[in-house]
Amino acid sequence: MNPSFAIYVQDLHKDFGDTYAVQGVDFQVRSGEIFSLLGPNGAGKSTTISMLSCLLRPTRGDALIMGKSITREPQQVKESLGVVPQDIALYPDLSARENLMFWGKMYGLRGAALKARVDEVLEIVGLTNNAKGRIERFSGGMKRRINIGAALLHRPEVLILDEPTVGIDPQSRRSILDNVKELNRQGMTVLYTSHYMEEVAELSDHIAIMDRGKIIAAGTHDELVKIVGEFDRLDLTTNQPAEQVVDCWRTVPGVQSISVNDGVISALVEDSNVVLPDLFEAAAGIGARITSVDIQEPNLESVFIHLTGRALRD
Amino acid sequence: MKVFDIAFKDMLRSFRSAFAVGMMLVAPLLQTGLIYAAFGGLLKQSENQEMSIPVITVQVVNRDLGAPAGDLNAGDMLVDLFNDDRLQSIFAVSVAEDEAAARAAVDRQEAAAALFIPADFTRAALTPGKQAQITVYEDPALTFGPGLVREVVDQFLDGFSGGQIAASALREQFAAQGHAPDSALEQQIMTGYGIWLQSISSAQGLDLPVDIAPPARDTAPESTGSDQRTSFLGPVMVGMMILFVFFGAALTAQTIVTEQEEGTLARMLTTPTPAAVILGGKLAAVFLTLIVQTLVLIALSALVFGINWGNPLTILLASVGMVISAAGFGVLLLSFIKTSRQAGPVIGGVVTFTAMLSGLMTTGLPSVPSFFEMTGLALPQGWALRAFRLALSGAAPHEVIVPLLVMLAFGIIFFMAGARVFRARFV
Repeated sequence: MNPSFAIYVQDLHKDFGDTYAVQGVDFQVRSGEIFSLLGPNGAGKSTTISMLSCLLRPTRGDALIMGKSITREPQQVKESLGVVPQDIALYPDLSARENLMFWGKMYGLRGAALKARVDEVLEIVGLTNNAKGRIERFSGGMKRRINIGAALLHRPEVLILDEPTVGIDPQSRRSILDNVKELNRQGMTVLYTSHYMEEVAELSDHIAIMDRGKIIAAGTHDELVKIVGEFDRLDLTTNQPAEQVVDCWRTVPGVQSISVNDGVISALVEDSNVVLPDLFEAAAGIGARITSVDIQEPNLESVFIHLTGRALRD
Repeated sequence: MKVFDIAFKDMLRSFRSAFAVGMMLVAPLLQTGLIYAAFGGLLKQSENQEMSIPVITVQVVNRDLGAPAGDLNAGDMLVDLFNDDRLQSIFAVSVAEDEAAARAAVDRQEAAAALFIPADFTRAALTPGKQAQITVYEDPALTFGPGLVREVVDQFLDGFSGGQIAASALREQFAAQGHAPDSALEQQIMTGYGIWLQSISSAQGLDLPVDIAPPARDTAPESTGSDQRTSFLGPVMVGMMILFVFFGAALTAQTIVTEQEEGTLARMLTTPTPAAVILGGKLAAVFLTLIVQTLVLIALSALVFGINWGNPLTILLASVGMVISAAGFGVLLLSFIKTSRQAGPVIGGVVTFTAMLSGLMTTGLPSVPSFFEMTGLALPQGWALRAFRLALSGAAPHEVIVPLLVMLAFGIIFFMAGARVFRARFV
């Protein structure tokens, strides 16, 4: 294992009986970079994060965080780690300030230093004016921001965020993404998990795509997109049930892979100019009509579809 | 230090919860207050009034012809007794024309009882081996008045038994010496005894069979009122306090399950705070919350209801035992609960059921049914009840050592068992 990386993960496994949640995950995160784990729900991202946070003990394998082993030195790991859990983990009947004061104490901060740091974190997350308000009265976005703030109190060297923007409004999401970038600019190493391709694409220096407990691809955004660089992605809707249309489109020449998500058919094709008319014809052949077409540049979603045959949000 | 950070955070959350404050503090005081409101008027009445007994009216029909010789008349002696100055405030005696008139007066509830003294009353009282009898006709709706009349009559008749005993002793002496009984001598003894009895009753007055005295009062009426409230409400408050302290223990321990569901427990475990410290903090919260609850309940009940809790050290020892056993009980109970949805029914059911078996629901009764005395031995609440009953009765600290030690044992065993389960689940 190479301790020069901020995070070094080697052959991490986690089994729950007959369920293999994480199977041989390896990746490395350099100091000061943003590394993202991208994958659909159930891919094993949260389980991986739980192991790195020392909440779950790996069945096999190990990881070093700032040179400390998660299996042999968990308390030391936690001192340099800030974890933002996927669900809001705050006390709803305490105020924002009371929550931060408590969590600061859990990280070993005391007295005037704690009070000053709480004020600073409230400023960072933009909730200084709401410090006395009870968490239960906050909006979802405000709760998420305090949720992040609680992990920043002790100035961690590594920050892990597990799907921090789930279920919040676009404005709050924007605020969180900007905060993450700013923290990274200040030198913090960030491990970010999400199933939102756009966030990952915007934030990350390096990305690992996870599916069914394994990393199926890793690299920079450009490196990953190059996997499907020659393919166009078409997002189509029809007037017939998508599953019926997909069956006849699979056999159309030039279609590399096809998937359905929320009634939208995503197809990776070699050349959209050539394949699209064939798709219209095939649909007409079964009495279906294409109602909308959207041509996308190759992106991470395309990569995932290409590698797994499923959409990220399946 | 982190143990106390976690404990104070939990206490803050508990005392901000209207439900928790209601169950821990308001409910026991309210329950006791309702009982005081329902029955407290009786206490106030007895505090303010002198003790008094309504005058008992008695109709007398005296047909006694007296002794065959001399002027000894036992019937007249009995009537004179009822008319004694010292009994004037209790009995109002009037002579009836005849039996029928006396019975009618009782039937009309104009008299509590009627005495029918037969013509041969004195003769029977002075005849060896014969029993003098008086008929008492009483109002069946009354118990106290007629009972007092019967008591006076019985004790009067007992006064003549001295003559019977002397005559009987004489007969035995004669028989022991082989002489035939001398009826005339026996009669003479009994007559002489009757005359003596009549003479001393005239000179000194017979010893009254009834002694009337106002209740002893210590210093001020207030202390008597407080004693009465303590003896009446004290046990009720004790029962309510123990019940809701045990409830409070389970409620506070429930935060372990709640935090697991909220995700804050997992978050705590991602901080450099050892799991044992987290668990210790949760358990310290239970303990400290119960201490506050107990202190507040004792103080408020003393202030509001005037309950005198007794020796401060005795109360302290009883409280320590109760808090420790309740804390252990709460931890053990919650170790079996996986979700907060389960917690409500389980806590309510177990706490109420064990409270019933400990006799906490019957503390207002004069004596605890023996069944609960037995079942209470197997439960910490039963021992807490014993300890506080002793304290209320003014027991010295050393008298609650045994209940204290038993409660400590319960608490430690429960705590260890519960902590073991929690460690396996969360650490």
